[in-house]
Amino acid sequence: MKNLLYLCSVLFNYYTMSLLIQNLSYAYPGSARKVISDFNMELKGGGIYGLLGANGSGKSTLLYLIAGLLKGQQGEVIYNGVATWKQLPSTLIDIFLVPEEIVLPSVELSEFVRLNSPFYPKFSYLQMVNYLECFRLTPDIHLGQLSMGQKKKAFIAFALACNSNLLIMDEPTNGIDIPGKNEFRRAIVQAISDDRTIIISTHQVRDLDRILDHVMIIDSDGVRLNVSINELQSKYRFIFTTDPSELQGALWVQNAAGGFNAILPYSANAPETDVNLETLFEYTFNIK
Amino acid sequence: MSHSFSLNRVKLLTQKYLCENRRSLQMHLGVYFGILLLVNLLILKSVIYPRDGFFAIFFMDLFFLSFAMVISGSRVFEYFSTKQKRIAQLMVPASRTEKFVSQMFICIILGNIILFAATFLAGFISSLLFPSCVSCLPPVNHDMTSTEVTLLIEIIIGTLLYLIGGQALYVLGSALWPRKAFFKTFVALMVLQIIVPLLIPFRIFDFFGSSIYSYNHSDNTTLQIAIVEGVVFLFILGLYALAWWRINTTRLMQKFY
Repeated sequence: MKNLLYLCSVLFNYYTMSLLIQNLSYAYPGSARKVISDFNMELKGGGIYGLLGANGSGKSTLLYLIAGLLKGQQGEVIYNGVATWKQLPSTLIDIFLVPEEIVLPSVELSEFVRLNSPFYPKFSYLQMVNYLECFRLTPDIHLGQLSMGQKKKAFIAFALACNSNLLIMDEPTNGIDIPGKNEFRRAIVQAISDDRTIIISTHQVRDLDRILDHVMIIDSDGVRLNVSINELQSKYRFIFTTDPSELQGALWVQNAAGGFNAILPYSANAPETDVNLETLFEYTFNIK
Repeated sequence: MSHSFSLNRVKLLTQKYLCENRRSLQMHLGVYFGILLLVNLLILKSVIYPRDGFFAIFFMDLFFLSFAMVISGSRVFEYFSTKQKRIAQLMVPASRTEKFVSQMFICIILGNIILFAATFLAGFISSLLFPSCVSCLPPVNHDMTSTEVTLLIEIIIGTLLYLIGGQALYVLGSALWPRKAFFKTFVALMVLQIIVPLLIPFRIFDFFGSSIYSYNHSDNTTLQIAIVEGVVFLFILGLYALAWWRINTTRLMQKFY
């Protein structure tokens, strides 16, 4: 019975949490160039989505459009049946954006939480303390006395503890130190659940390649690739080799320091490999 | 859940703004009060006739109050001045109307009450230190004629409309140009002051004729003044409506001219 209820809740969330982008076009004010042009995408259910794209491909713009901070000249972003540009409180409760650069008031974290958490009904203080521990921070910190990287960690801990169904992160690991990137991965893995979707836009793919469930590679015309990591692993093998003979039958070969990165078709007797996002990115943009 | 307006969210937004900007607000108020007190004391110390001192500080306080009110007005939408601040503000789960009302309450209603109180307190402290400036004033005449009472009421209403109207112009300026709102609005008003008389050759005094200068108001003049005050009041409401519309349609990336 318990399992059945759990299954029902998973299915319910799967079918309720939906993000639909329909024919979206956006050009910045005063510019004729469309950063996003006739863009279509659909996300359903939970998971960690990596949003990859070249500089100027419109990743941040797309995230702002999803968050409702911008309104497309054409098309709409629909979150659970509501256009996000309307910025209704009910939508904003469910969408949390961690921007690349954050501004925090110069107050104690406890006061920041006291002032901001009432806006998020699913906020959990215990979870926040847990995430802070992941980042080796304590709840008694003063936001005005933190470095930029520490501020970002504290804000990410708060964002994760808000338990919004859609968490959007724009270059979250920028400005975070090397141990911090590992701590970030741990915190994200702890935070993910079946009813929660996290979209992470980043250039630093190595920070995330092991935690992503899904990869989306975009350019201004739309989604070049939208595929789950499991699917990638079941179809391709990503290898690094110094031996050119191993590259026979490769779909894509790329010179790397001291050898080659290659994508090979999956073969049943070969071991499954981790997805090399850098190689995948190059492959996606060069196969057309 | 209410989509557009909830008093509880307005309360939360107000608390959030006041607590997160507590130090800055306290500092601004402290500076205002300190300067005002210092100017009052310098005036009272330097005048020969105490009664002149009273009127000098009255007009100086009025000047400082109007200045503080327009500064306060031009800071209403200061949180839209940078992209990061706009993101932080726009992503708070509350409607635009709630954010507007909260900001109006803080900077206009609460802010003005505090500024009036600080101005009064500075004047009160000055009068305690220099009691002669008050004691030399003639006692309040309880036998004022109805015309004098009307005139006094008109002066008070006119002064309030001047203060609130000036502030409303800067609130709209803040909605149009959140960054350096005071300076940009000031320049815009100066330009308007030059352009408008050239385009509209109408002066307010033409409406009243010479009776505006006279203490002997006729009923007609009183009606004319009431009409002008009504128009100014509607104009102020229009300015706030424009500011609300501007904020309601603000996006993250937008021309702030």
